[in-house]
Parts: sequence; C-alpha cells; structure tokens
Amino acid sequence: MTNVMHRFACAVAVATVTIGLAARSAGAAPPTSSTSTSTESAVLAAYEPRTGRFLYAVNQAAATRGSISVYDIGAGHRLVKTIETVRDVDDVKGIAASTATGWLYVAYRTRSGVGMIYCLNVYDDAVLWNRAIDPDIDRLAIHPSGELLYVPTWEGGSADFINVLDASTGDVVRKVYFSNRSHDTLFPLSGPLFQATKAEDESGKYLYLIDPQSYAVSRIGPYAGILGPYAVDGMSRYVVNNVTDLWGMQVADLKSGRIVTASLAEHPPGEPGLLHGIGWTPDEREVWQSSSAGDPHVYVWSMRDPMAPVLAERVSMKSRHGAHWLTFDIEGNYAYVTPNKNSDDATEIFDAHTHKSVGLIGSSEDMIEIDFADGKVSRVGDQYGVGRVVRPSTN
Amino acid sequence: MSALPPKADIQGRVWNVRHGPIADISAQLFILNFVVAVAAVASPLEAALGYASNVEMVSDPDLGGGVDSPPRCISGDDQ
Repeated sequence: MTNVMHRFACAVAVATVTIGLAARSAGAAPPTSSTSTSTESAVLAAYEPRTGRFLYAVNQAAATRGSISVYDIGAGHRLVKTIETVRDVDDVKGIAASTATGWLYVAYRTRSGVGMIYCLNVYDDAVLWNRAIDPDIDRLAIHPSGELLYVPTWEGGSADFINVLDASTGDVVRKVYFSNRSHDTLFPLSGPLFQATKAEDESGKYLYLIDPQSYAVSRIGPYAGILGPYAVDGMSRYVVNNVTDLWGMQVADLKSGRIVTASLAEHPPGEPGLLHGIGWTPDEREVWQSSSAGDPHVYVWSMRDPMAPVLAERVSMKSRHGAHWLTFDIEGNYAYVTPNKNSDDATEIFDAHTHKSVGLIGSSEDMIEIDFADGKVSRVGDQYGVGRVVRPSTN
Repeated sequence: MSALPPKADIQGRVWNVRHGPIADISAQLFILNFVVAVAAVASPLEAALGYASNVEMVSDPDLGGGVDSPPRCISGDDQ
C-alpha cells in the first residue's frame, strides 16, 4: 500500500475512532471508591501517608508474597507499614498506579495458574476488586487518566492480543491483536503504549507501539532476537532493549527506525541468556542493566549519545546471585535492583549518582513510588526505569 | 551544490504535459490538493509520538477489529 493510501486509511480511522471514544467516554462511569466489593484487605499498620515520598513494593519472598510493604523514601527507606492484600499469590507480574484515582493495581498468577489483578485504594488500603482476567495477565500498564489498564495475556500463553480493561471494574473493554505471548507493557511519559512479546514466530523480535486512541499498531525491528524487558526515554525517542542471547543491549531510535547494538566484553560461561532488568536514570544520562540470573552485577551505560552507549561501570551487588529487574525513584536519587524472581534475597538500593550501595529492603521486583501532598496522591512513579526528560518538540 | 538537476537532465527530460480544457485542469488540481491534504495527516503513531517516525504500521483494529474480532491488516505484507 502506498504511503498516501496508508495515511488516507489512517485519517478515516482517526475520524471513526474519535466518534467511538466520545461515545465510550460518555458511557464510562467515573472511578469512585464506593465500588468497594472486597473485604480481603487488612491494614497491619495504621500509618496513613499525608505528605512524603513512598515506595510501594509488592513482596515476592515466599512468606510474604503478594503483600505490599510501604517504605518512606525520604526517611532512609524506613518501613512504615505492610498491607495484607489477597491470598494465593504465586507469581507477582506487575504493578501500576494512578495519580488521578489513587488506585494501585497488581497483576499476579495464582498457584493454579490463574491470571488475576487486584485493585487497592491507597487512601485506605482497601482491596476494591480482585478478579481473574481471561485468558491471563502479565506486566501491565495504565493510561495516564487512570481509566484504562493495558494487560498482556502472558508470556507463556498463546493468545494473540492484549486486553484493555476498565480500570474501575476490571471489565474487558477491548482486545488489541498483533502477536502472541505478550509480556511487558509500558506507557511511558510521552506515550504511546509499548508492548514486547515472547513470540517465537519471529514476531517476538519486534517491539510494538499501540496508539491509545486509535489502537493502530506499529512495530520496530527486527531486533537480534526475542525481546526481553526494555525502557523508553521521556520523549519516546529512544528505547533500550534486552534481547535474548545478546550479552549487552540494543538501542532503537524510533524516529529513524535504526537499531544499534551495545555489546559487553565478556559473559559468564555458557550462553549469554537474557539480561533482564534495564532502565534509564530519570535524567537519562545513564542506562542501568542488570545481568543474568547467576551474575551479581549491574552494568551502567553512559548515554551521552543514546545511539552510541559507553559502558561506564560494572556495579557489584551484595547478593551473590543475579538480578531480575531494576527501577528508580522519580527524582533519580535511588536505584532499586531486585533479586532473582521469587527469591528471598533482598532488593538492594543504590545511590543512583555515586553507584554505591546504600541499603536493602524486602524482596520485591514490582515497586512503584507514590507521593502524597496534604493527604492526596500528587504523583506516581513507574515500575520501569523510564526516562523523565521531557523537552518541547523541535520538529 | 545547486539544488537544480544538471542541464543535460533538464534538456533530456520528456515532459508529460497534458493540455486540456480548464474544467479538466480544475478537477485535477482538486484531486491533487485532496491527495496532498491526506498525505499531510499524520499517522496515528506519528500523532502519538509527536514527530515523524520511520516505524512501520502493522494494523489498525478500527478498520475492522473489535473486542472479539481480530483486526484487518492494512499494511499486509508479513502479518
């Protein structure tokens, strides 16, 4: 199809979608805390955040898995409370939260393999709903309005779509089709929706971008292999990607479509596997990349030129095991490097400027910062290490 | 370097100029303007990103997809 015809089709689609969105918005009930339907929540500590910066970390150690520990970032990450949430959490898959509603969402799988999401009201720690999502769940994302959740259908599944849910109820409002084994979903500061999949039919070598208004799907690739976790900068211009069997990372320029490879010099014996955690520091000067499961190091890349990363430092973890995820606080003072999946090892906190270890918290890889001002949620961070440099467009 | 093509190219070009009634030319101009206007509409991704992108569009569910039906592929080569 020619580019002109392609754009004509898009123009028609935009008009159609605009009408559809208006109709949907008119019929959507605003989020309200009066929809509480669950009594599964029990607050262990009566601490009610009024003002401050707090890290909500879903525990993954065997004894506490699924509960949420809340740490006061400004007070040396002091544990202020642990919120009991739901039972039968076997594998925590992702976390998202909304400034607009003050609702926090955790995607998890049960011991019998059912994909579930629970919604927690951070103002009173009540679980508002907790329900199975068909066919399954994975690392989810939320629209900035707080009205929609984007839920992949699991890296081990076969469904060739992701679900779009009404964030107030968990009802499916749409399916977006493009590839199977959908895994990591991200809605970065400048949008749109990003989605990686573990598909083995070559479609897993692409990173997908979904326009949240028209649901048009675009893709960039192919990468060198099936994609792992990734992170997007503040302008949604550059994406850093972990790639299966690549000892290093690939960086994509979404404007040009170019993809470059930044290789590490050596890897432990055996196949490189998949380096897993990856994230931009909020100031976008660096990208931190956690290693494979058996290598207790974090690789810090200088991103002065995003398309020519330079390895700046190899940081050692206190754990003798590897790491599986990492993210940062909003201001970029701390990096949180998580242990291996469902490990009892601690999540390690690093000074993001000096790269020095500054502390440990309970085992969690699903963490999000929630800030309060005068008792209201003032901003939320992201489970991903997203870039936070947003400049006026120069195009 | 000049932006103009070399003289030899200009002299050697076969100009496909049609001389027709004024009404025909107006119709052609209308179609041309329509095509240019459509081409100026940013793709959904470009609108979302805020800049022109070389990323490939795969499909648009709103051209045929819904909650229960897969989308019709509009670029269509390998999906």
